[in-house]
Amino acid sequence: MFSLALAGLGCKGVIGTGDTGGPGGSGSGSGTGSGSGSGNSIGSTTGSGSATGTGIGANPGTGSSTGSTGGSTGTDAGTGSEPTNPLTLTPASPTTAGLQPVQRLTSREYLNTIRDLLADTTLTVADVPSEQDSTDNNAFPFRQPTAIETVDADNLEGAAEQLATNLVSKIATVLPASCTAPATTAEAGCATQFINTFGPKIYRRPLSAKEVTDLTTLYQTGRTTLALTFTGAIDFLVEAMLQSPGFIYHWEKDPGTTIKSGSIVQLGNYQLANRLSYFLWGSMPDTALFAAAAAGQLSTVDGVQTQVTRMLADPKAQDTMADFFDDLLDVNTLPTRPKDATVYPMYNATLSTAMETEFRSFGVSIVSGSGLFSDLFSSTSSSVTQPLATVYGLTGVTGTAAKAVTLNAAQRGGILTLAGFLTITGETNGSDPVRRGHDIYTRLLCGVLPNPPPSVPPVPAPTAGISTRQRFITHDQNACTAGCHTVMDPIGFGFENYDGIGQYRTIDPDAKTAIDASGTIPLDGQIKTFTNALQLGSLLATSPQAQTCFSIEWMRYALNRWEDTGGADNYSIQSALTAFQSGGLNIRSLIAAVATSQTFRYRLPATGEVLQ
Amino acid sequence: MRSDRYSRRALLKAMGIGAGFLPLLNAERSPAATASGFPTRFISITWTNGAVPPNFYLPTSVSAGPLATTTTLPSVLSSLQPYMSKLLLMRSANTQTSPFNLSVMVDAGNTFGGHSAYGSILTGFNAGGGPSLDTAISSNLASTAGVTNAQLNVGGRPGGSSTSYRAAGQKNTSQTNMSTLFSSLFAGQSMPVAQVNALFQRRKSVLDFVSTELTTFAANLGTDDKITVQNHLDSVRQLESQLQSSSSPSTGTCTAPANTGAGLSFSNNSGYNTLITFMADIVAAAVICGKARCVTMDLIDDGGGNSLNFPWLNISSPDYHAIAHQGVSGYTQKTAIDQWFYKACVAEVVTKLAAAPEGSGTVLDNTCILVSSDMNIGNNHDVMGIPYLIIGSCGGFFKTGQLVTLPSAVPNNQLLTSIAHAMGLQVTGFGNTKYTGDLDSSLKA
Repeated sequence: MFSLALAGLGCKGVIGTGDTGGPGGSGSGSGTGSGSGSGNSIGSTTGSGSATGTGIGANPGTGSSTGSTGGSTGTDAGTGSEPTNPLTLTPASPTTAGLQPVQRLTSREYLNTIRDLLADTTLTVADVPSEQDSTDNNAFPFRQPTAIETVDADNLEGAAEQLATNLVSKIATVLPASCTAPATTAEAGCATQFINTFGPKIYRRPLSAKEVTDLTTLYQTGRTTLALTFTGAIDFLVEAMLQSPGFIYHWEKDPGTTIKSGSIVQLGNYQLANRLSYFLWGSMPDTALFAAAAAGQLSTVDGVQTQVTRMLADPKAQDTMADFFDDLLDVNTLPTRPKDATVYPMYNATLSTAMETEFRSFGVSIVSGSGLFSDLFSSTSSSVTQPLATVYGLTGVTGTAAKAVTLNAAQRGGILTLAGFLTITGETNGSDPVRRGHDIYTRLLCGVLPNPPPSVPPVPAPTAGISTRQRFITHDQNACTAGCHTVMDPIGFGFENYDGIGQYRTIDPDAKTAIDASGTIPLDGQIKTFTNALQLGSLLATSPQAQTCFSIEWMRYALNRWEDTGGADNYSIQSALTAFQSGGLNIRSLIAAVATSQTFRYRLPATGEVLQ
Repeated sequence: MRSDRYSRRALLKAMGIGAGFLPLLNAERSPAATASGFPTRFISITWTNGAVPPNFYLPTSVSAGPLATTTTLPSVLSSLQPYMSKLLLMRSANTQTSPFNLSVMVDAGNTFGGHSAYGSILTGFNAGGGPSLDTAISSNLASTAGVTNAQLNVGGRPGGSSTSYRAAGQKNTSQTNMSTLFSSLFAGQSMPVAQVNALFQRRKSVLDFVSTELTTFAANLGTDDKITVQNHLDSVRQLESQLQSSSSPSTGTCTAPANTGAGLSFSNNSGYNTLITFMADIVAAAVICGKARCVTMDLIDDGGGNSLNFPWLNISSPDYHAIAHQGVSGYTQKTAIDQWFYKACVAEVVTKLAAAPEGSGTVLDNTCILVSSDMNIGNNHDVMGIPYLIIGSCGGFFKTGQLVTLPSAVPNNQLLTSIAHAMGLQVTGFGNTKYTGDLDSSLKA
């Protein structure tokens, strides 16, 4: 895990000691640790993850374990010296790749796959196993599936039964054309045909001989023991396959021998097809991608690039783009963040939904539009509904549909000034510089902050005559808080022009004085100053550190794990970053570079794995 | 949403018909049953942020011993006043504090680690370092009484922490979707027997197939990945066990609760008040109907109520976590919140169980409800002085209607051991072996 050395910035906090339990390495376990904690405003302290395995990015192991500081540590921050990106990517070897742990389909992936496989959209997230999506300090930024427990197995069973029920009336859609109403003597043959045609679709790869045998036996059980009709037994097979590891897990191993390359192995064509598809579309491969896999076209970088270009242009990629930003900055948790109705009477479920929708569509519009990293922090083009337009102080937006608008460039610019981000990082009754600073430092600069110590006194409540800035500065002067708040708060002060739901203001509501939105941020080895959030956005857009962190986050998103602590992913991340920077900082170039990188197309065999 | 055709509970109910009905299966006579032969149950309810001492503990002017009928319970517990005779209050001898420490956490240098206390409350280990009490009780029921569907874990924070651990470092995921829980427990109770039998055969065939596939799948995987798949396999086998078992309904009337939580979700706060009570109603009905014998209810995750506010109490900000950190200045609001919790959740369960006749008493009399928290007061994450409350005598094991005073710094392990004894486990300690012993001599009737 990449980390920044806070010592050089005068912080008292030390990473990865005592009960901080910093992020773990990228082991291949599936720990379900969920570090959580207190913290004054962030709500994050002692990681107490209870994972047995180290897990993919499973944050702290147990209790007060010492966390790892990751593969590379930053250099001390200097002042007045040449800018130095503290996120180093060394060692970087072109012959390495990280692990690919076995992970199950996430809830999104399950629902999308069912949509594409069975044309069924009747299930919801509540019907299928969900995943870990922690907002705690140093938590993995994206949703990660957990091990399947009894509750999850029960959900999978219920989902499969419901889908099988729904399929009964349209069973012909999964049967070979000549087998929709076979003669009795042809039924066995039709069952075999079904297994050999539908089986590879639902398992997303060719079936093994044993799998064909097992499914054939199961069909016969359906016909005899369960006394089902032909179509009933086919439906029964679907129900069973939907609960099988071939469907549930991302391990779509190609038939034949594993291709070794030094200490790593190359992903087979079907494995890579699935990895590409679930990264770029959040769903199973389409016919063209399956055909490319069958023809072996994904064995070369060029072949992969061809598919990546096609897939990025497909509308199905937009959800991936939206999900990335939504998860990275936790805007997907908006429904769980209530606001004080006396302070924000206009805030309700409709408005929070509109905020998240806008946030997602903004990210998509940037990536699929200009693609420019700079536009991510400066664009004023958005799409809002009427309630959200009111938050932005815009008039002329009526009706229930979202309308394209241009936000006030003197007040807004980029994703960090959108209501969704400002609301999720706001307090119930006002702004919160700590949360805002924390999220920017950890998610956009890949900084790691120690968990706050216990016995931290609370931030003083809003008080007439005292501005938010003054309240937090007073709080920061406590010895136990200074270590981290000297980093977070000066960043967050830059957002004081936005209240707890992102409305723009120039007067502090408690002090009744003009807001001071100036701040500082440790960036590229220096302490940079800014006068407001718009200037901060400009700094981030041109920062090599922010560009590096952005590349790291996309790699984490694609692989759904922390980067390897030994540096096995460094070469790939560096390659992607180079492509990003040399490609005019176009985000689509970055995504494509991640998808064609060494660590995406190869993997390190797991300890104890038997290669075939 | 599950189709009524496929309700597991209808299947279990049908299988239970004619399977040695009242009052108890022979296999359950001992040790997991009361002297009268009725099943004992354990319900753990865990809240957060400790207790406001003067509003939770009886004053020191009240001496240890039977509670006088004129005793007025502290304000947080006012909703339990009608059930004072069923309460076992525990307090330090000379102060209004709890006698119990999470000693294993103190030993680990984590005295102020309240936000990570969930893993110690029912395990008696630091950081979830062993199976929890509910797991031990359920395992015992399975091995000694053939009851394999005893355990039910529910929670109020999706993705949040759990007090229930099946093994060291392996917590049990709580069901936080109350609609799904309601459907799985109570939907389709009128399914014809023939249909139920056909469903049983179908599910068994599928689960057998899936188990075989998982075993094959795991064969060549790496060590850590094998653990992942093994978890899945264990879960499938648990489903198979549930298929094989039959429920043991009590003599009380088994009625599904009203579906008051339809359309609500713990994923946002708007329905929290309603859902907490709905959860309590489901748990109570599940216990009365014999669909669960060992339940954990984890209402909050380790965040101490981050982002949780209480508009129905006119407490919209700050959130509960921030209120707790205010210490004395937040006592008024915190008392109101805790009072609501005890009424909406704890008293709801108690009232339902107390209204279900069982032999000469009620289901409540044969149950042990343990209400606990993750911190002392909540202002500084202190895990010394954790408030515990026992409701129900567990078939006459505990002396209720009493105040028991204990020395300070009693490790919670000893309380867990006594509860284990009440539920039929013959153990000399629970959790970390440093803290053996029990509190039977102080708490037992």
